Amino acid sequence: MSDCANVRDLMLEAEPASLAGHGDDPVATHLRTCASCAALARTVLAETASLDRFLSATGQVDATALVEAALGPVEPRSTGSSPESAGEPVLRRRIAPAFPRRWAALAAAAAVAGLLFVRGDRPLPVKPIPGPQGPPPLVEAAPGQNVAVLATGNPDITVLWFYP
Amino acid sequence: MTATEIHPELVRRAQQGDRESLRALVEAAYPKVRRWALVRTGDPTEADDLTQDVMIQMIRRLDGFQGSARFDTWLYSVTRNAATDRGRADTRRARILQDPRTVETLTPDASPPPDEGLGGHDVAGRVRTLFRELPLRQREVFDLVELQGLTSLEAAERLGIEAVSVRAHLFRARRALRARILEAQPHLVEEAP
Repeated sequence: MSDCANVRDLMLEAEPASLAGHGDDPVATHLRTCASCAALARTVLAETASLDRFLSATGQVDATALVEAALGPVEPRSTGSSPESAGEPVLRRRIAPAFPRRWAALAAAAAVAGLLFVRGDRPLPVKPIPGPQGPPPLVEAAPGQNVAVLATGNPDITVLWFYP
Repeated sequence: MTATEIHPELVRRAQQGDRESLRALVEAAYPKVRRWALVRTGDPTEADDLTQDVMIQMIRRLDGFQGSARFDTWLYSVTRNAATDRGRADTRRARILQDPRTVETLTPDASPPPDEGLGGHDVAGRVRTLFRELPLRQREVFDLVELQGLTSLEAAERLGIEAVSVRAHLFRARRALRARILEAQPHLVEEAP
């Protein structure tokens, strides 16, 4: 195996500093004298740096909004002997989490709207609903929502499942 | 403590209810969590959603941090649990969508624009695609050690694994990524004497 082939194999696991030609190990030493292997090493380092930049990129965070979303807005301090005025930490006041309420509402809405009778070939016990014949319904979800249309064993029943 | 680690005093003041410290803590933690989220999900939009979930959980559960471990380690575990929870929800959703009885599915605005996620098809996106194809543990280790500069011991503590495993995952990740990068440079490889 030539020096270059050997070093290129070693490059696959070498420390980044060696790929940059720093140090006295065989990889770094070879890269300082071989232009083509050094070009490969630079490519590896450049692509790795590009990945690092991608992972590092973050937008602006609105810390105030996040804190208020988690704990609620700051309440004005009262002059009485409330726990706040007595110096009790605000964080210790537990605020009911918003997510369970939201999910409960979504589940209730889904339970009410989930079953739709779209074809009325057979008379229904209470009130027949005239429905269109032919292909399954085309349903459009609201922005930010998804919808799945599920056929059931009963050709008269199609289930629409809305989910975030 | 590494240079970028969140200072325990900031955490302590936030735990005591100082909202200004809490906001500062959120600002310090957000980029870290967002990066971890992106490493896990591979998609910027999903990473943003996951990061917001983790920030809310961090604020609400801050009292539960006892200080026996580093705050970064605790925060990482919150992120990992949140990502696992979201993964379970995604699995349930995928199972429904793959059901053969599903006759039609409309998902408005569900797909990210091309080149936006880790799987972008531009030149810079190639390495992101390669990275995304690595196993999760290799991605985590590669990011923490190779890109963020943690030692094997620090990464091991963060991930709850042995340092020797960190080294093994790191070498596998390096070898897989670099081999694929070099494969994509045939003009350079052929120049070998």
